[in-house]
Amino acid sequence: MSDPALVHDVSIDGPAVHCLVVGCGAYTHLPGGSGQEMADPGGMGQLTSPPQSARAIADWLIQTCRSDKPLGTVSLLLSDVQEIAYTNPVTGVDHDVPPADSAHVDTAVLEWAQRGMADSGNRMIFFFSGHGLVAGVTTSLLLSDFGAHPLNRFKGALDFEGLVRGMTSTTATEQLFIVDVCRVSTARRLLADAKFFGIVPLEESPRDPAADRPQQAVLYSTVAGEKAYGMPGAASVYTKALIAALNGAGSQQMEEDVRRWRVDPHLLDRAVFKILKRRCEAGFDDAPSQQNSNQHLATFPIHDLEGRPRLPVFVRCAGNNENSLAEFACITGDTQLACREAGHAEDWELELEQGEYTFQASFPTTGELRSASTPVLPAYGSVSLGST
Amino acid sequence: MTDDKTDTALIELSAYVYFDGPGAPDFGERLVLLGNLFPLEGGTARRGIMVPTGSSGAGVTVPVEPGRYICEVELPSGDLARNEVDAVAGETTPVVIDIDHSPYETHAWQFLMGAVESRDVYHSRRASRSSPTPDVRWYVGPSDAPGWSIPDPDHPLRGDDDMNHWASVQPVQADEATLVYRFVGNGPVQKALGAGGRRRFCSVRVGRRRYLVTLPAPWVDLETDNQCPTEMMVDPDAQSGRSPISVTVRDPRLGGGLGYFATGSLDLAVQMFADVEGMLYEKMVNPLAAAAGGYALVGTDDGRVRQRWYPWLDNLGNWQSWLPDGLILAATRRLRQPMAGERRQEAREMLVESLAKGVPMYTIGLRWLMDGLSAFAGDPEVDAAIAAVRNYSYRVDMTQPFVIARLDEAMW
Repeated sequence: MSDPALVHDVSIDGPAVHCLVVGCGAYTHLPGGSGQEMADPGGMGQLTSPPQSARAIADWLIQTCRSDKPLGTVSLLLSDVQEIAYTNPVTGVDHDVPPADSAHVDTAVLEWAQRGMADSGNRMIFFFSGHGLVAGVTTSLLLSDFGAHPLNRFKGALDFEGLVRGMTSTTATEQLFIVDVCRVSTARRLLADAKFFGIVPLEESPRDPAADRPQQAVLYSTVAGEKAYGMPGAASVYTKALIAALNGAGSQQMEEDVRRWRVDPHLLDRAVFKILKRRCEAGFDDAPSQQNSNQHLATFPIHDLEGRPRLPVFVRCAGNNENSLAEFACITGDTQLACREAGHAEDWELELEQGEYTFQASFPTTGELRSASTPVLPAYGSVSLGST
Repeated sequence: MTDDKTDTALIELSAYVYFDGPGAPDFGERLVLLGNLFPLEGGTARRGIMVPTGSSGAGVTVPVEPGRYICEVELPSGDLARNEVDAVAGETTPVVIDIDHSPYETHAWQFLMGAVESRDVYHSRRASRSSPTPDVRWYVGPSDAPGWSIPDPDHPLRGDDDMNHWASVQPVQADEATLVYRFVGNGPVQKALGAGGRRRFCSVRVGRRRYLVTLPAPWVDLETDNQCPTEMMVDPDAQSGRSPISVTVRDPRLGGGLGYFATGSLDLAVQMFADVEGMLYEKMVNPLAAAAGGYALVGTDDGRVRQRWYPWLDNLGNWQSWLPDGLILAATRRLRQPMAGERRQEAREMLVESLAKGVPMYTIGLRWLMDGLSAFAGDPEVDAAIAAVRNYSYRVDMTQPFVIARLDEAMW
């Protein structure tokens, strides 16, 4: 493996899937970082969720992702306040992955794009999690050395729009970009005077007039503030929803074979949106601002499920403030699959395979038992248990 | 109820919601949304069913194999509403899905579009407004006012600040948290005020904040030629992640498509616009709707097969010269296809020309304008345009479908 960012590399003869995953949580020049603190950090600090998000996505790609094209490579860059080792979940091999700084990201993007050029049928997947300066039509993804250069802080950032445009010059015809950023409230001010928004590893060059333009799909979410972005040390709220969507919430039966389920960018984007909205209604999270770039949302397979989809299911009592009084249970046939004790105000969230289930809410103080049987389908199941 | 074909069952699908609007309860509207049918005993799901909504009237009838089904309506807000039904051979089974979860009847349209929370959340989390009552004004100044262009990077927003050119507007509904305003082509629905030029704008001032709102009006119903009201909701204390101003169009046929479009579901939007594709482009009675349809069509086109609507985008740019979106669409369509240098140069000229016509109607237009111009970076004229669009976009709420720009300096 010549590229130090590669954590998974399978030689494929023909079209394959090539992934680049970046998780940046440790920022050398932001407050709490290991280097000299930059002037005017704009309220930003260290993050713990992005490296966990990146690991979760890398794990999912290596362990789970299956489609009409085999997985070729996964490269990973992490800047983590704790550790940067990554263990490939399939091979068991440990990798000391490069940090998510501008030099290594620059190289990793070029290597990734070069791998994509090997076959025009290649599918390219890019994932970034970390701080982002997002305002208007500008998205600057902040890398671990953001602020290292006092005269040009954006030398430590990746110009996301520039990356997407640059990739149109490559020959890989299917390209998926997923950006999960912790939005900085001072972004407008920090971007306002800038003329440069980050490194642009790939030059946008005129394409062969006869060649097909790559089909690009761009999904991104911005969540303001670290608290809403994710629990400390856990993958972000968006990434969790993304993985739930990849595992089935964003799938649809294939027309040619209704026993098979497929995830594509449209379904994925919509399922993440729905899950985040439902979680907000369930009392788990504040509503994130999911900004669909709209400009690119092509359709191509991302993942073909093995078996039936697994789906988030939200169970609640119909009356106000009843959730915390009820003990919940989920039953299939004669088997209780899961249960929750009383004392939780939010809806009960569980994950189930697509199918039909019985849900119960029992009230220990009154002896009341409520029950409903219902099918669970993508994008999620939602059960409201009312008194009869 | 029986059906002649005894081996077939019929499901009559509709969704219940009570709309309040000017004039009469329920407003006579039957907003169309997309629905799906999932068979629970095997078989293929039926998707993209046009489901009428409202508080009365017939549903859409769908022939199916007898059996159990989940009937689903996809709200533009991202919510799902479902009912289970047993479709019996030779019978028509009505299914009415309840989507009536808006905080108030006046907010029903905004709720379906995702601009406001459901009744439970709204009433449990909202406190009384703490911000001052918004000062909303409708532009009636001269049609050649300079404020609606994206001029130069040093003066991104030369507005028309002559208060004689702005007429005060009252809400049709105001509660403890939000205010709803409705407009047609010549002003608020309560009172005709006239208009300055082809474009319609509102100014919304909340304390130190001031917004310029691009209003999609007049918006003409393709079937009836009547004007559909444009609705603006102001939420002065909007929490993070929600927009303080949201604009929708109460168009029964296309309002749902606009809602899907606004939340990025272009594949759903294009189904609704494709249903009336010919009406949009051949009659050209509603260029604003034609532009929305154009964005959905171009946004989901892979460019591999020449589409019959390609020339219609050029017509939109040529015939509706006051609307920059037509030129942006025609240019983007060119740039997304394999093409020779001459066509590429045409795209450049269109993009530069669009800039001179002013702010795009749709926020997506700003993105596509930027994306298109960036293909010609290095050209001094284009570089200046890129800087102007970028600076302007910093003021725009990119989560909203229609361009809403914040004008005050306090935003920095």
